[in-house]
Formats: sequence, C-alpha cells, structure tokens
Amino acid sequence: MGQALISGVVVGGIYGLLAVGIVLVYKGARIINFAQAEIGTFSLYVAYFVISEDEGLGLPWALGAAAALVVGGAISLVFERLVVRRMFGADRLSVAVATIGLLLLLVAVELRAWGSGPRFLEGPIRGLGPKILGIYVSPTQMLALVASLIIGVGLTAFLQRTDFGLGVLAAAEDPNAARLVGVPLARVSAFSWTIAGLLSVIAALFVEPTLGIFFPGIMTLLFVPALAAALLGGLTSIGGAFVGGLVIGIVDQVVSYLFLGSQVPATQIIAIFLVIMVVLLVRPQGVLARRPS
Amino acid sequence: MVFGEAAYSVRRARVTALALVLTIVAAGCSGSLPDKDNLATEDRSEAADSAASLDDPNAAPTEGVDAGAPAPGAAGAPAPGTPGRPSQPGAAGSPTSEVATTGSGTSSAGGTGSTAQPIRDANLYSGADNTRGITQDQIVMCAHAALIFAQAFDIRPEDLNVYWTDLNARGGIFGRKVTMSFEDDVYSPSGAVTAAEKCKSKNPFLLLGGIGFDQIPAVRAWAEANKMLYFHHMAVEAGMKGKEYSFTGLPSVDNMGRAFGEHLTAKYKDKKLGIVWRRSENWEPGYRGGKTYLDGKGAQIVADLPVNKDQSVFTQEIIALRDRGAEVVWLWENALVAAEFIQQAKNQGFRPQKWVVFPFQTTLDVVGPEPIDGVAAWSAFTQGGFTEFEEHGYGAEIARFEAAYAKYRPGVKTNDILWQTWVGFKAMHDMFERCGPQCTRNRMAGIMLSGLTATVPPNCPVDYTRPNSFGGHLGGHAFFTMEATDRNKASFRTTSWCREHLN
Repeated sequence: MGQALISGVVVGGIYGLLAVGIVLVYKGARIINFAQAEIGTFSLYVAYFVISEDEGLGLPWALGAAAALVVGGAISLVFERLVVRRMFGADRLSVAVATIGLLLLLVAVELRAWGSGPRFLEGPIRGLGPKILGIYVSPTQMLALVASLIIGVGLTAFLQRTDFGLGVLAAAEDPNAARLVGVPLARVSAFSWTIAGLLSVIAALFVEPTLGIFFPGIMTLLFVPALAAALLGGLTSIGGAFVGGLVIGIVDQVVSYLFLGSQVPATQIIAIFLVIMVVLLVRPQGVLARRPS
Repeated sequence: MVFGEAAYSVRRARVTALALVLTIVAAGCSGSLPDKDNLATEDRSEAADSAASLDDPNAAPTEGVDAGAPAPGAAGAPAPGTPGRPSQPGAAGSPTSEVATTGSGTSSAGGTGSTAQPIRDANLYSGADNTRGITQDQIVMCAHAALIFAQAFDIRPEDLNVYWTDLNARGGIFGRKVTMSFEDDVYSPSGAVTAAEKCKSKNPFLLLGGIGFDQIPAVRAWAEANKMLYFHHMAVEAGMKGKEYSFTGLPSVDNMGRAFGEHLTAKYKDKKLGIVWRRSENWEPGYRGGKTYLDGKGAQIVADLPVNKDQSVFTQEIIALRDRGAEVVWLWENALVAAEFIQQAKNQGFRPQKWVVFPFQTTLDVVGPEPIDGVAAWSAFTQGGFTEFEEHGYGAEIARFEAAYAKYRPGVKTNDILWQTWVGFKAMHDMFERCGPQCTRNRMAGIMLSGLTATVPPNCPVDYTRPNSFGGHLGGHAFFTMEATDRNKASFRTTSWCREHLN
C-alpha cells in the first residue's frame, strides 16, 4: 500500500500541474480549455527535435525545454489572440468547443509532422533515484513535485498579492466591472492563456520520462484525471487543483493496487468518476474553496 | 486513465501504427520463407499431433464447401509445394491423383500448391456482382488501414503499393492492371466501418483489412451485411463462425495466444512467469489460449495482470511483477504499449530475464537492445540483414523487394512494415493467379472454400482443409519466433519459422 501511496503522489503531482493550468484559464475566461494537455504533447516534439541526437540537433536538455516552453506558450498566446479574443462576446460553450478544435489541430499537426511512432525523451536528471517504500522515485519525479509546489504557491501568491494578479481575479469575477476600474482585460487574458500553456509544457516535460514514451495525443490521455483534479478544487482554486491532483493520483494508484489482477475492468476510472460525483454532490465549490456567501 | 475520444482514437492507433499494413494481407500470409526441406522435416515429424493440438474441438467444421472433411490427398502426401503441410488425421495415404491444381501451379507470384479438390465456385454473387471490380484490363481493390499513422514510418500509400506498381509494369495479372486504394480506418471499429463504406463506393473486387484486433470484427459484420468479399488480417475466432464473405490466411488471435503459450513453455519452462494482458474482448481470447496451454503444462505463473486498453501508467503492475519475482514476462499487448511498459519497468529498475512480445521493430526502436523475443505469423526484416534472409531462404525475395523500392520509391527507407505488406500482396497476387483469367468473386471465394493448400514464399503454408479452418475462412496455422539482437542496431532476427508448434 505504501508503494501505491508514493506512486500516487508522484502521478498526482503531474495531474496537479495540468489541473492548475485548467483552473487558470477557467478563472480568467470561464471556459474549460480542452487543448490544455495537448499543448504539452506538441511541445514535447519540439523539445525532442532540439535534444535528440538521432533525429534532432543534439543540444542539451535545458535548451530543448526552453524551446518547448517558448512554443507551448506561443501556441496558447496565439490561440488567445486569434480565437478567444475574437469570441469575447460569444457563449462560453462556443469558446470551449473552439479549444477542442485546437486539440484536434495539434494532434493532426503532430501526426503529419512526426507520425504516430513512439519517441522517448530522457528526463533532465537520469538515474533511478531513491527507493521509498519499495518504489523508485526518480530525480525527475522529485523535481516535478517540487516544481508543482513552487508553481502552485507562486501563482497563488502572485494572483492574490499583486495588482495584476488581483486584476486577473477581478476579470474572472466580472469582466465589465473590472474593465471599468481599469483592469486591462486583453493583457489579463493573454497572461492566463500563456501561463496555462507553459504549465502544460512543464507537466509534459516532467511526466514523459515516467510514462516512458510519447506519441500524438498522449498528454490528452491525462486530461480527464487533471480535470477531475481541477473539479476537486472547485475549478477556481489553484491550491485546490494541486491538492485535487494529489488526491486523484493517490486514488488512481491505490485502486490500481487494490484491484491488481481483478477481473473488474477500469476500476481506476470508475473510482475517479465516483470521486468527481461525490465532490459535485457534496461540495460543488471544491474541497478548498470557501462556500459562496 | 481516461481521455477524450479524439485522443482515444490516437491511442488505439498506436497499435496500429505498428503494423499498419501487416495488414493487408488476407490470403495466406505469414512468415518468412521456409527452407522447404528443413521445414518439411521439422513439421512432418510432428504432423499428426500438430493438427490435433491446434484444432479447436468446439469449432464447427463449417459452413463452407467440404471443409472439415479431409480432402483426398490432404495429408500424408502434401500437395506439391506445400512442404510441412500438416496431416489430416485419417487422411494419410489418400490418393492425390484427383487433386486439381489450379492456375499455373507455380504462379508468377511464386506460389506453389493446390486446392485439395477441384475448385467449386462459391455461391455468393450473381450477375454483375460476381464480376464487380474486375474487367478485361483492371482489377480494383480497396483496403481499410490506419493510414493516418503510416506517417510514423514515413510510409505513404504509394509506398505500400510498390508491389502492384512493379507487377503492373511487368504486365499485371493476366493482362489486368491492379488498382489498389486505401481508406483510413483510424484504427477504430467505427472508423473501419466508415472506411469500408468508402471502399464500397469504389466498387472493388474485394476489400482488404489491415491489422487491428478491434476493427476487423466490426468490418467482418459489415461485410456480411453488405455482401462484400473481405480478406482481413488477424482477428478473434468469436464471430467468425457462419461468416460467408470474410476470409483470412493468418492464424486467429486465439491461436496466436496459444502459440505464445507453447513458446513460453518450450523456452522458459522452469522460469517464474508474469503475464500482462489487454482486457478487451478482441484480445482476451489470445490470452486465454496461451494461459490455458500454460496451465496445462504446469507453468509457474507468479503474476497474471490484466491492464486496461487505455492505461498509461503501469507502476503497480511493474512493482507486482518485480516483487513476485517474475523472470520472464509475456506482454500480450500491442507493440507501442509494450514499449511503454518496458520503458516504465526500466524506470523501476525491473529487468526480467526476458520480455516476450509481438516482435515489431517499433518496440526496439524505443527500448533499444533489451532481452526480448516473441512470436509472429510473419517474417522478420531488417535492412541489411541479408545473411539471415539467405539463411532462411528468402534472400532472393528481399532482393526483389529492395530493387523494386529502389526503382519506384527511391529514398523510401524500407522496413518491416513495408516488407510485410509486400509479402501479403504477393500472396494476394498468387490468389489471382489461381483464380485464373476468368476470375470472378465466386471463384476467388471458392478457392478457399474448396480447400486451398498453398505456399507463397516467403509466407508459410496456408491450409484451408483443416478442421479448424472454419470452413475455408481461416487458413494460417504456422508461426515464427524471433529474438532481439544488437548486432547493428537493435533488431529482430528469426529463430524458427513456419512451425505449427513451438514446443
């Protein structure tokens, strides 16, 4: 069981990072960005091209990661500029559907440009890492956890303690009122989308060594658990999203452990949906969010 | 893990990609060129029990013409060019004089063999339907395959068609040029049915089905409803019974799994065995086939772990394998998931003595030189591995293959997928040769239903007279084993070929 808990924390940290990106966009634009995870996959290919000696430039991991961050952030920013901003007055559902379009576009480009074959990208630090309760926790996984924590805390502090951050929160609550008091809505929107894109890239770079390979669509496989994590946080709490990620990760791995070899199919998925249902029924505002007054 | 439908399709594709075209075969392909003499010796020695042991006692011998009934000369005296063809119990010594050899006997496709008895046209089509897709100067065929993933191998439809391009340049089949087109099935059952519909609109002579345990059963049902002659890749036996329009020359998924069981028993009898298998109605029969065999032989199975088809993280399974001391792990999963699993195992410091998988180059390209072997129904190919090809008797075919690609698709890097496509089409070509100048759809189906036994080098023999050939709808019963080497780069080499039994 201890192994499952450790493994759950490791996996949950990644869900948490993706969930924070989902929450950030939701806070800023009140939509679910279905392309959130896939931006990470796309950027993995960029990193691979820079880092791989066989198929790419053979440059250091850090340069590949930097290139991936630039591309991931740019995709998100360009989408915000070209699509989201032009749909400012549109129904939020329409914008959400537009993000599905972005998801499909990214997958199509990945397939066209790089094919569906699996690729492998080494983590920033190699090696098995320490063995904790019988499970190896790799340096990359530890780095991912630390990064998730720092990003979560940092973003929360930024949003709550800076004028611009408060502007982001205000714009999410009431865009018209925020505009009247001078909040630059365009910049706020661009900020939210760009940061969300960067978070997706960071999550992808950290999770890929754990998954072992990547291919078109792989990060989107993690989107639903990440969305569940965001829902646990009430979709508006960055801290809640991170905690939600850990909870979902632990549920996923513990259920997997308990039902190992069972003939019951898809127990982890069932468990995750049960968690979502319970949260929506019992505490729809999220586990860490304050009940609306 | 859960995920959206779009990604879901992509994921399933992984499998696909693998062999995209392994695909296309249909009529009788499997493996590499047997050294006929060796093969005959090897298989004849075990002929009697081989026929029995791969037979499914519950399989109804058939809804087809005469299937199940040992044809004259079907055994004991293998038809010319069918070395190693297993004996039919009770048929030994039957005279062969009445056996009709159709076509040229040794066609330009290199096929040898015969039908076990005179071809009787099937009664599937009448009127114009019987000659749909075939004219005096053209044969039209269409295939559903996961084209969207072909890019993974730098493969384009034109690359897949090199066999036909080359053949057409040499005059085609009885003066007819072959037109082969592909429709993308995106590696999903619904996508495959959509692709089949698109193919139907082209009025093909027949529909070919690319690799995919999941999509073929769906198209098989569609073909029955739409009366489409359908030659497909490997699929489960469930749902095969009673189908009139669908054929394959490859082993069933069920038999494939059993072959893995035999291989594991033969090579790793005293090892602690772990099994990881895809929980899916289209995969499970293979696992059950292998597991039943292993249980019967008293195999020491220390971990028996089903995984979901969309699972991304295998940490718990890997830890279980490691903690229970699995020395050999059978991964009954597609090649991409196998690569993913092995990579994650490395992350957990788990390296069994052997991984046993479907041997595709794609897996090795990712995981590198790991201790891996496996069972397949097709021959190995590695660029530059000519010594092995010569040793196994298909060096000349490889040379033709390479020369055709150099001529028609210069710059295309040949690989195991293109090679498997080539030999599949070669078998298809042989079928048309056998069908003759007056070929019709009824005649093509009749070839199998009448009990074709044939070898089209470098494929293994197919035998539609077997009791478990489902009345002429399942013809493959022979397997290859391969193991990974790192002579040049990590690649598979064939360790045995065209064997009915691997123990």
